[in-house]
Amino acid sequence: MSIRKGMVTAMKTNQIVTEYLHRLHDASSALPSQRRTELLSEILTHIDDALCAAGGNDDVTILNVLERLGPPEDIAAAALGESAPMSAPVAAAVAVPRRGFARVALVVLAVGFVVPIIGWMIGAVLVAASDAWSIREKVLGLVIGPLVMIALTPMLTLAVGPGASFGTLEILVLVWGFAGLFSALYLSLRLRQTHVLAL
Amino acid sequence: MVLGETRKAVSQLRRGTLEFCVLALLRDGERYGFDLVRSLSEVDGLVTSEGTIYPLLTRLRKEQLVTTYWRESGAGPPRRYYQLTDAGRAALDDFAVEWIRFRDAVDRLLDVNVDSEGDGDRHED
Repeated sequence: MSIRKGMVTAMKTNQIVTEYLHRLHDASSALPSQRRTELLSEILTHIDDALCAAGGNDDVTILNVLERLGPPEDIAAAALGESAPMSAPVAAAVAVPRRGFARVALVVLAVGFVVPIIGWMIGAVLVAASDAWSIREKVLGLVIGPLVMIALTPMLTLAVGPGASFGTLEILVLVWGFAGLFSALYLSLRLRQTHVLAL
Repeated sequence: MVLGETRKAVSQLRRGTLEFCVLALLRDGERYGFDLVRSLSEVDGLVTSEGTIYPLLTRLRKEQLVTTYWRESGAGPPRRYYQLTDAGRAALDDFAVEWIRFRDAVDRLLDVNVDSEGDGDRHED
């Protein structure tokens, strides 16, 4: 018991082992933190077991054990590779078109005023169909624009003046056009904040 | 160049079969991590870096081909033991059948090539 405990302590304070574990720690930063901790502990236990099996903890023995373990970067790469097959291809297949889709939705929403109202509606449907935003973001994004514009409408009407040749329809078109722009602006900001890595 | 191709092919074969070698080592009973890793690395040409086996063990655990449990060791910290599950045993049995078929097929092809080149201008040095 005490021999092994002593071994672990000696091992942990050993410069070579510390450096090795540091490299593994750095190389595995892309792993989920729980998985990373587990990997480090597995490797540390392995070193401990190997030194016990070798019956020594001098530098030569330690170097030999680490040599057999392989470069920390290889271990980290293997860990990333093993955790990736389930998620990475799926993420790659979904995330990229998903982002492209989201961008198209935003553009349609922003320039929807070209085909009044209908353009906005198509944009809104596309945004709703995209999974680049949460439901909360979608609702907020699609509601924010119209709300802002409804709030601004009285002022707009005043600014234009009663004598102007703008009818209700023109105002509605104008308002909805700006609404689309506001929505698109908000949603693109959300997209940037939550998906920086996906770029 | 040709050597590189060979190495690549062998490394892919190794990667594909390694997990079944792990399962095979567990066929006759549970083993703890270090023991398992050392047994694998002692097979010639199977493992280049012992450390890369641990991520593989994690995946096998996630895929429920093995289960693990912690057991106190007489001296020192508790050890994580690996044990084959029923699914793991079934995967191993399936693989064993396929592997023999694959191995025999490749062996036959390699033998045929040796024979057709053979006799007349076979270089032996």
